[in-house]
Amino acid sequence: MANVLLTQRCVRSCPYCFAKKHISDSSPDDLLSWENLIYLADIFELSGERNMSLLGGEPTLHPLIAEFLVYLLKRNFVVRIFTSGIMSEKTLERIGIALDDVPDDRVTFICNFNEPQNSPSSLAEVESVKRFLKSFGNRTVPGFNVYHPEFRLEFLFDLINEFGLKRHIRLGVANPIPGRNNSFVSPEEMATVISRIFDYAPLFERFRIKPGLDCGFPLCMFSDENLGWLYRHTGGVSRFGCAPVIDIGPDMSVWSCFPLSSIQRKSIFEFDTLQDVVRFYNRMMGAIRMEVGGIYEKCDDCAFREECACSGGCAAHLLSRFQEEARVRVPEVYL
Amino acid sequence: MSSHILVCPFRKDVFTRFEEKTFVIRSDDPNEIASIPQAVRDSNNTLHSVFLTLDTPLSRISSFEEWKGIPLSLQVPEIGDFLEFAKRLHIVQGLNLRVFLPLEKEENYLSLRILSSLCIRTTIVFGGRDIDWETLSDLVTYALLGKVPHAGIEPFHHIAETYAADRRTEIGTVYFDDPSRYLHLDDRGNVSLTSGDLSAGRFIAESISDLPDLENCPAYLERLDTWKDSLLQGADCACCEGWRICLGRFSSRRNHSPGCKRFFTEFIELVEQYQSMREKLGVPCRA
Repeated sequence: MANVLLTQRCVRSCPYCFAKKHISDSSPDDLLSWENLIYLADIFELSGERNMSLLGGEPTLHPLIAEFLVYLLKRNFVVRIFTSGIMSEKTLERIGIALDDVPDDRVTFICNFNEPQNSPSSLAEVESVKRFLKSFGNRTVPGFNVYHPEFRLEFLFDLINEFGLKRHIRLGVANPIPGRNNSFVSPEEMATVISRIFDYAPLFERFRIKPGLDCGFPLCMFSDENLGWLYRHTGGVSRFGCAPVIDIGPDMSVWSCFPLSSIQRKSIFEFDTLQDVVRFYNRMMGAIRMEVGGIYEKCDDCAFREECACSGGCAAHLLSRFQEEARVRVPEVYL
Repeated sequence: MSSHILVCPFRKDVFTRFEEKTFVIRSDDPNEIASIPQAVRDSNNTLHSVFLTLDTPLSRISSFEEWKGIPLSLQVPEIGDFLEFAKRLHIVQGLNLRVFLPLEKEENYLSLRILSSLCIRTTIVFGGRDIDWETLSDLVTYALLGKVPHAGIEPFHHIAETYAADRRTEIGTVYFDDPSRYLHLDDRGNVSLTSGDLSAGRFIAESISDLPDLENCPAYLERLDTWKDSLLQGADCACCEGWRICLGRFSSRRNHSPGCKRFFTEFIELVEQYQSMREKLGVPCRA
């Protein structure tokens, strides 16, 4: 599922923000136009892709979010919206009108939460998120990005129970953004982070909530016991890959994924289908992985990597490392 | 009498004078639309289309459901509130409908594209305002080379389907305003060759029955030759490559040059590309 950014503007400034580099390089005034939305809907349809994720910045800051949402639904798309849940009452009401009579499985929100103790929000923001969850909790999957090993997840279980959110937590791991100083989980901290996630296994089981791991987790950091538990509680859908996600900006630029937004950025108009875009960025990923196998030295001759069971962690770690070395690698890997 | 389609208001005393004729019925009352097909059938005539002109935006029309099965051309000023309109979209998509939108409103360049992408057929009404040729050029590119199936935007599709380099392309057909196919009647039965003549009170006869041999009527023949005017007057259009499509129709506009020339020249290239694509797909155009 490719991601479409409606705007660069955001109401938050998360320390790990993976869009930081992209947002700082772009005009905050960029808003996806109607004409470009229609073009993207066409290219998705032509590519046989019926799922579209809407991102930002904060996508609900786009003044036409409700209209765009209805339009995509009328074009038979299944839509996911990544949001902070912070939005004006008017926007919330317009989205409510747009979703009137729309089945839950056609529109899902991924609401990203930060730990309240580490990222205190204003009262107005908290109230806004509560309003959002009261209206759309049944359509909302909570998401959480880990950027330090001492994270706490209890508040997410409380939110799920209080607002009737979907019983699933999307867990991402913050990766370095080459060229930016964001907070992220280093390869050395990965084992601690994974161990901490499994400290919450009893809570996941008790509340019948499924964890979902986003990309960038290396397979070798999981014990067989961890993998068995994941298999049992996620239906065996955990993957340990690192592949092009495909993000499309409001100005119609396209890149592999946010952490890699600085390299090989193209225009979507240069491609005929999404498959062409994926092929292009797969070649780029191949070039990076030819230089270094993965985030650990042992990745180079790892059997899991050879068998494509693991990609060797997020390529952003490798790119960040390349920027600090002498420029002796293939030119594609430099900013 | 000729086989012309007659365009007249919804006045039974006008179309009941005829039998076995084909009519376009003009109306500005949404409440009378549902009764038009039966009235035309009862008079032993055939309904080609109903042409309804309204001042209200598309989003504020509530009678779509009553118009099922009626060939309807609907001119409105704008879409209006998209969220409101979207609630009735599934009904609108099931109608035999073509929406006419005037370029007087700048937002309609986009509205035409939105409706087309939602499989609703549209027609551009050029009106009197200056045309944004560049935006129109984007729209024609979408209309003819859009990546996925979408509804036709007229007159672009009509031109693309019928254009041939060795003859003129008449776009009046999509507006029921082509004297070689349509005659216009007022509520007393007076006959005009175009809707413009009708509005200006220029008639060629007081009744169709006064025109037994239309093909030899001097006024009719003269009107069919008006395409020569811009050539005879030696206007800019006379030496423009795009003239084969526009026939000098836009020469009186303030901003017709150079945007107009660039637009129609590119349009011809797009049409040729469109026709060659259709040829390759084994669906040749009518030209």
